[in-house]
Amino acid sequence: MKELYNKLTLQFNLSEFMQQRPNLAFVTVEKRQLVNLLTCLRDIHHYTHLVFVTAVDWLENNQFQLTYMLHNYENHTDLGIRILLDRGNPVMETIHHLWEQGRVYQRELHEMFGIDFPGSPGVEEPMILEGWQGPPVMRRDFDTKKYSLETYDHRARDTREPEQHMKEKLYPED
Amino acid sequence: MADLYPPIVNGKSVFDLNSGKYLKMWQGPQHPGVTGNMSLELVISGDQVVECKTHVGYLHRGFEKLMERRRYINCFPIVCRICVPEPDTNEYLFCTAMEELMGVEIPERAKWLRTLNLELSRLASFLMWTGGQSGAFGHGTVAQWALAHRDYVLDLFEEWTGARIYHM
Amino acid sequence: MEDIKDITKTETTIEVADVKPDREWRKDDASLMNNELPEEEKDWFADARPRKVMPAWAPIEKFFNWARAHSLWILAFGTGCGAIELRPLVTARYDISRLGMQPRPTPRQASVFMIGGYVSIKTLKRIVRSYEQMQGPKFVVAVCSCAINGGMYWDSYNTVKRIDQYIPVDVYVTGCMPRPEAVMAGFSKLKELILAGKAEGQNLYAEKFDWYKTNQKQVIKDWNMPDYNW
Repeated sequence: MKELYNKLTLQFNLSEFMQQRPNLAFVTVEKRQLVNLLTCLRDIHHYTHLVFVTAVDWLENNQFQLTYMLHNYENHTDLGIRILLDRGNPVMETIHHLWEQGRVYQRELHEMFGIDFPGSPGVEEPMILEGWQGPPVMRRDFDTKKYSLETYDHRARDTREPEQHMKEKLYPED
Repeated sequence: MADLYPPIVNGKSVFDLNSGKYLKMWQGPQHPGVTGNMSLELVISGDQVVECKTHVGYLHRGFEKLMERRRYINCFPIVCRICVPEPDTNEYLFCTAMEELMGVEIPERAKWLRTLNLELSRLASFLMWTGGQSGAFGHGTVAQWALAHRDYVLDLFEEWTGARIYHM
Repeated sequence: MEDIKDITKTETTIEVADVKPDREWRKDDASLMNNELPEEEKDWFADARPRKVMPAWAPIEKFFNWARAHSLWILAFGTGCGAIELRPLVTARYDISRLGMQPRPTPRQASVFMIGGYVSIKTLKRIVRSYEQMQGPKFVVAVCSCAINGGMYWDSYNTVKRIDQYIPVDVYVTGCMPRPEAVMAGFSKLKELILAGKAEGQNLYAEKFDWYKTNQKQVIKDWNMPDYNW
């Protein structure tokens, strides 16, 4: 897949090519060139299948990293394209005109991370959570244990650490 | 047949629900024909489904969030229960991801056992689908036979770890 | 047109003593939220709270309990993981037909509600709705450890930890996928409770209706259904 990378570097501003397996590679590109790159890959280089769109929350760098995974049916290779978004104002162009399934992924990302895709139809409707009024759930600064302990009532638990149990019950004289 | 589908306005079909030709109903989560817990918002015309909109999220537990709080080896029970009828595939995925990260190669006997497990699990899952779907249609006999044979596969799984479905 | 009699004004009235007019039964329920609706819409909502059912005269009640215990019909609602152990129960190996049980499609015809496993908030709304639509003597069996104390998902934001605070539960069955024999043992325990007259989940719900409703409304944030879904 290095030849593809060499071909694409002439047109787009690519950086950081990583080949993880013989048929899987990742490449990072700038945010404003993404739609052009995806259209080029889809039409010219036969990467016609969009597998998924996910996001990673880099809290330390204050960034979101989106990954678009494309699959080529002719030589059975996967290419993952990464972009970096600013965490304070996460807005990205929509790709639903290229692949229809992008709508569902963008809807999920909007609900889980709070990333906005203006123009994508139906991106504001809640898909998974109903009546959720808190922060977007998958962000790293949402503490799920604290939320769960506050909202729901827990039964008193009886946890048993093996070391403590042995010290108290089995060998108390030590 | 062409007049079954109404005109499309703005990318969405416009149904005249008062005309008596279409019926909008929810095949909701409480339904014996829905395998699992999801709901379908259907618009049907007689016997034919004209539009179907899915509603998911009844089984959302926040797996990724839970896995952030646990160590790698504590995540195995969680990964198991993502897919309820076929849990072995998810365990295999997680295992191979961890092995690739660690750079570890498993011995050959483990590979054979793993292949056996995955094939049997595939069988069990297909039998469950056949039984469940035909039960929804009304073919009760097929459901009984398929689920009974699935029980034999689960007996083999019980010799594996002791649990019939979730091995971790 | 005079020979067509106006039958509302004839004198053939039937003497029915002790039948109160419809609205007089329901004087004690100003607390239901759907009480201030206009008259045309009141038909769609239940306007009375659930009532406690007192047991009848002792020998008859013993016969009723025997009849109820030996023909429990399960509501076919696969709530979570537990749905996958509901299906082998119906096959010939762990036959529950010999105990008189069969899965029924609608809540109006079911007596037992088997809550399988974890319950997310979206499902809880539907469970409450289905449970309140069940008729007559109804019982709840909760399987899997997630219904007892939250189980493996104790720190999840979307699952409900103690199902006991939202619906009255009669019998719990532990396990993370309990075997079908374990689920049948749970049903046998439920039968014992019914025969002894102690399965009182329905009456508990009627007594502590306000407490259950407050708990439910605290968790289910978009409440767009009647207070009591009968």
